[in-house]
Amino acid sequence: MTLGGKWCCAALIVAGLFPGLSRADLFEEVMAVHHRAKTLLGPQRAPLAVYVGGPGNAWLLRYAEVQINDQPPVVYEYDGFQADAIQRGGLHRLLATDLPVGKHHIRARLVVRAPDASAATPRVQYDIDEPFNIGNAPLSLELLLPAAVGGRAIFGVQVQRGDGRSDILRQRVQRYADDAQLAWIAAAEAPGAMALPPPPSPSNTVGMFNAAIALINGGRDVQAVEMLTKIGQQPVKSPDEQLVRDLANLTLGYRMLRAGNGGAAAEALGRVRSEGLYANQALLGLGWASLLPTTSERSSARKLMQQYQEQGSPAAESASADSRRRDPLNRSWTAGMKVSPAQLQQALAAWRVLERRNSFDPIVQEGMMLVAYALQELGQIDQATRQYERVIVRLEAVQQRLTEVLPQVLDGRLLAVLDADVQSGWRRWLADLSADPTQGYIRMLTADQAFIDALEARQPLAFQRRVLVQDDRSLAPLEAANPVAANLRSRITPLILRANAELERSNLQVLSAAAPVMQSLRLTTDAYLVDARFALARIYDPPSK
Amino acid sequence: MAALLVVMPAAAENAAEAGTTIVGEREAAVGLYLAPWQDEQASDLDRPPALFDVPAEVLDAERFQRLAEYDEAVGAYRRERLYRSR
Repeated sequence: MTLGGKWCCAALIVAGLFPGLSRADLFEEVMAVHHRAKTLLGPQRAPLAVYVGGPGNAWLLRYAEVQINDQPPVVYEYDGFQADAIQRGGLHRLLATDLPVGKHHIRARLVVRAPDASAATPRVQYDIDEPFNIGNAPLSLELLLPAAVGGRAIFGVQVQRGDGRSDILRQRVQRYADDAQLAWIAAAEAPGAMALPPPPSPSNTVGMFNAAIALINGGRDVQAVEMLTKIGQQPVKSPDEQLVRDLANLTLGYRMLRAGNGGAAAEALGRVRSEGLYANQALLGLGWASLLPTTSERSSARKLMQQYQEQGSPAAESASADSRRRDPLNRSWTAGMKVSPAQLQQALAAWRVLERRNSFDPIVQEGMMLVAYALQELGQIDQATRQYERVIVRLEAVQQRLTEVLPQVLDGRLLAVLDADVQSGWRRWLADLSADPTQGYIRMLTADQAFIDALEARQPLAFQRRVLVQDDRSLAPLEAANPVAANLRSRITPLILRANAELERSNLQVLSAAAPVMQSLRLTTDAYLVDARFALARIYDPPSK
Repeated sequence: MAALLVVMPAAAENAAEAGTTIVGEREAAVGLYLAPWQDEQASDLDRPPALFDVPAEVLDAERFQRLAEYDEAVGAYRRERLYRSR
């Protein structure tokens, strides 16, 4: 039986034990038990909790490292949302541990930067080295960042001590979790918010974009182009507004390519961020836009779309496979057009930037081939030959890597990587790994909506399971002497079973979403590899005319 | 197949003359023009540049927001790394 099969069976068996209990109900039940356990455990322990924050401080916290005595240090890197949450007055619980009564020592390092800092602005680092005593009561240490005036701190970090029970502290921890979009942590921190809240409402720009798409599908191209132009140039506040703006410009750019207007296409595609999700598609289109004529006068959207309707779509052009192979660039957006060497050089500039990017991306693979086609068109046969050879080497490396990682993704080892890095705020497995050229498939996975949906649904499930296991472990020593603890443990045991089953079902959904993405990458890589090998063979042994 | 040959002995006799015989007016010049009845199908392999286009698809606002947040996390991480190296 496969791993997926085992998960399915386990999920079905355990789901049968809890008929009618939805995931939301389960989460609420887990949180209720967790808060009972916290209340029960509170007087029995002398825990230390270390918090990081500041009362509406002016710094963006990037990195924190805290070490108690000689224990291994806890390191946390804050992502954009979390740094903003702390800047707005939130408090992050960085560390919670049990300590014996007596003298202890805390060492901490906080790295911050001003919100408006440029790449050249140095970061500010604070080091804390303080002894503290712990008695029979819980202790909280709040490491509070100082306020900044004119980009400079006027004081050092303040270490504030408390009993960890104040309402203000709890509210600030919950505010941090809310602002940093970690709703499940907020629920675990405060008994008043045990259910997961609905996600924040998305921006209206998505609605505007959808209206533009409806206009395109309804044949009202002129109004659609006007609306896309408006979305593509409006100021943005949130990540989704930024991404919609990119998508609007990308859609507009490709509409202009269809209309044969290289200038307007380049203008729209040039507004797409160079490092965003749609950057590669934009670079591909920018190259094609260079091969199209540029209208000297800025045509109105109406005129452009009339031109498009008169010309018809270039995609409708048909030519025999043989002639397309002999003259590969004389199709697609430039079918039937005369392309000058200067235009080809301009297209090459965009495609050369594109081809150096993530080799797992089919758009980048297309860019690699286009560079070779353009060099061939320019008559630079030696360079084209070397380019095809390079493409073959790169695609073979991608092919080999995919062969290695495909089983790892499908058998669940990818999920083990996710769970191993719960401490870092950057979702480091996706950010850090995707910066590594050999892990480029991660970036392709996180660009897939189905994969992200499954992954997001999994996060609270993994969290609730961790909370239950931790509570169960903490209550175990009290069970013999305390009947309430024994009762609570008897509630926790079936909940762990149910939480395991839900998590395993969710794991299966993540892997099911990853599989088609990985298979598709494999297929496109294989296809481009064949293309490159055929193209190279034609150079060595040109077909007879 | 054997049964077929038994039932149709005449067909079996003609099997030696495989192929198609075109009988026309013997006095006229013999000429045969073959015209393709459809365009050659483009091969899946050894393709020319693909025609990438942006699909005109309506967005699901909530899912798109999630996608944007992931993209933002990746981008911000890269920017932060860039800052750190200076």
